[in-house]
Amino acid sequence: MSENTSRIPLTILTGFLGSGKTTLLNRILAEHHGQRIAIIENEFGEIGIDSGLILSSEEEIHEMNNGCICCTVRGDLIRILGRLLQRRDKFDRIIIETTGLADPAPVVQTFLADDEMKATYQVDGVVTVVDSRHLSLHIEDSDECQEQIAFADLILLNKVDLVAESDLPALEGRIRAINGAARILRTTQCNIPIQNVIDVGGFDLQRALRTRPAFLDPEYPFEWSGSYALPAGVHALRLEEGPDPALSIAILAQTELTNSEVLKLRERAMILFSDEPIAMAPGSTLIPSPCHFSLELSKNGPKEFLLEIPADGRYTLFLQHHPSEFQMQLHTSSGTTLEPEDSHEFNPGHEHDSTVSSVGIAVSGIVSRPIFNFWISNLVRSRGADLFRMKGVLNVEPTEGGSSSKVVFHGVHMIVESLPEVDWLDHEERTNQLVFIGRNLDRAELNEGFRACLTSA
Amino acid sequence: MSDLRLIDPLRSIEYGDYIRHLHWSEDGTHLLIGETAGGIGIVHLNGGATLTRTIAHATELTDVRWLGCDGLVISSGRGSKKGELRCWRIEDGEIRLQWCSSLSGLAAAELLRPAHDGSGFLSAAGRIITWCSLEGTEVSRFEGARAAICDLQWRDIQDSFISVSHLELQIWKQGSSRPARTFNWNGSPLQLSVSPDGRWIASGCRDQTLHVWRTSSGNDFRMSGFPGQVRALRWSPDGSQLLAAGGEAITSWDFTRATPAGQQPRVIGGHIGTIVDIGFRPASPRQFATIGTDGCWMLWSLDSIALRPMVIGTSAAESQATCMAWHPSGNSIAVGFDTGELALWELPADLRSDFRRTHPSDDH
Repeated sequence: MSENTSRIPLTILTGFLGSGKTTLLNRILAEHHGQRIAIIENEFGEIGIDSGLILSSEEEIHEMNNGCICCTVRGDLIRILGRLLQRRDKFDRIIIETTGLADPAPVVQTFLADDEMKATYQVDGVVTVVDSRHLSLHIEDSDECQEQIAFADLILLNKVDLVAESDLPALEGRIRAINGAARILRTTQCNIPIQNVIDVGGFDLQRALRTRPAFLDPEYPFEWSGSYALPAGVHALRLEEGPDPALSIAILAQTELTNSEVLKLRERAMILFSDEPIAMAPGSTLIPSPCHFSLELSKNGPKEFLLEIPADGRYTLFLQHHPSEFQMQLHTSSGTTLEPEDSHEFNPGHEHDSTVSSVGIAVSGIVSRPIFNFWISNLVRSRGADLFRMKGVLNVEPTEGGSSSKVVFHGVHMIVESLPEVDWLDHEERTNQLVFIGRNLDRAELNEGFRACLTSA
Repeated sequence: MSDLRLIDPLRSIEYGDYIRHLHWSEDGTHLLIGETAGGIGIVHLNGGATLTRTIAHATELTDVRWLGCDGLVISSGRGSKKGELRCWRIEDGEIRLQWCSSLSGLAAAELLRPAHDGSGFLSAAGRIITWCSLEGTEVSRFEGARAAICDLQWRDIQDSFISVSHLELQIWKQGSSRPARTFNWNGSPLQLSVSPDGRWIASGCRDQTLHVWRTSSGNDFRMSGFPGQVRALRWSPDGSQLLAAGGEAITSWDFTRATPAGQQPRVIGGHIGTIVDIGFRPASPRQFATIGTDGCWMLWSLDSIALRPMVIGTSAAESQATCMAWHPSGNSIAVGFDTGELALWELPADLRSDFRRTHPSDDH
């Protein structure tokens, strides 16, 4: 009996009319990448595709009879992909092109909700082509545009040659406000190496983190941290006038350089920032301690504070605002300027204009499987309609002794799928990383809910 | 009960591509083969077995059927872009194109259902059913389905047919463009099977259930518990049993009483792979064959079903059976495999019967 053991990789291509999807498809078909690609396009596609195995399909959305009120799948895709299975030796991968107005959810859910589709096809990623010129017109008013961005693993910001380069960061910022986990690539006429498109690795959170390490940070009450190697002694902290008459700061000793230690420090700082600050006038002495200070900066001109370091070591300063806004400088008593050896910018809270946004959670600790299952089940039951996509890596408690395991999960609306748990690799940091992308997300609620699933910090 | 017998195929033909459709001509001289990739083939039994193949549709073949008994074949599929219907004449094992047409404003037809009397054929494309003449001309169009039609079957009443979609089961009459009856539901149908007396309509579903409607009232039953999608479904010719398979076992529902509700079905194992089709043996209404992904076909009798199959045939290669067709005589069976192997088995001499036609082939 012949067995089909490997799943067929599949890419979902979305984007508005005229964004460049067909240009991209023709590039994919023309390029010598050594892969045989079957394309499923809309029955009424934008323009003809030049060659290759092209199958057309008319959008047919229906509900799955599985008790899930918002679970819809694409019946047309199920039928056509079922037939493609009968010729699977003739292609290596599949690209599904959707119309500009199509809802990506049923397309993705097709590969989560239908057992045969799930067993046969592997969604490599959702690629959304965005027309740089017209993004501003659609992004606020069009639910479809927001959802196509929200569902994307890779966004091609196309036609950048038709937009001033100085405008691109703002466009990217608007995209990231909706979907902080997707990779964004700037293109002209979709001219990028095709491997970038057909090998997206949709649920690779690690890659998202490498691309934009700050994404998974919670909304900390501080915007910046700097880690300094400081000699014992009294140092001078100088600041100029800034946007606020006061600046909150916490100074914590750092014992280790590991990522988990950094995360713990951030969490401690976050707790400290929730306490009442100790007001400090210029000239006061600050010491590393479990409290946070409010530096008074209302007077004109430079302000100097003393920083007393009891012993040589590494210390981290957490600042409410970016130090450049106050032209902050740290000097030794001999006048030598001290620079941070490592610094980190954090997501400032409440920066999003759009109702569609993404929430990243990164927290150390071990997840209790039953508590997490209970929480995520309740979450998708009550908020599933608003949750477009979820994905994450969990550090779960061992089943029978031993060490914790890694579980990757992902979901669309009310469907959540967990992959089989595997052992952590030696070099991997055992942290939990989750991304939620959806409408009207409550970052604090999601953070609090997930943290309650932890058995240990 | 006969002893279990393992038999070798009478003939194996290396067709070379996944075989999706198999249909015998009414006189049993030609076997029609359809492959999803777009090709059709004919095996002409003329003492030996001569294979002829042609590319019927450039991109994809969706369905292929004999059209009447004059050697005509109708196929549907996609050319380079558009959906198309093509008619072929089979003569002496040769395949010759008769005509090609596309239906105005419609996507490619996914289902073809020739009329039993050979007067024309139904085609279903998306939500639209069309009645076409033997020349490929659209005679009438049937609209009213709210979702794409997943299966379409003629009833024994010649001018009536039934369609099923995710949202409704509909009964149509040829004289009206609107459905005569609509039973709304929400399901994921794979196929339809109408009981011989027309009282019941069954549909196997992707959600591992079997759905049965009572035609007179529209009342329906949902039978769950199948381990997989219910892909194989067939009524016994006398209408007493509904056989369904959503895994390795055959599930037999008794319809001799007023209602099957509340009854326990018989569950009979034998295959070690998923059963993909069931077909009753022509002229032997108590016997049926099953094929499975284990590469086997098995012959069963309703009278001894609780025990074991009567005959087992196995693929020479390690292949999954994909489709089968009983020869109209009921004395041999053709089975297609995913590897492109086509095998013909002949029943042992003591099980053979005279070749006489009793009713139209049931090789859907």
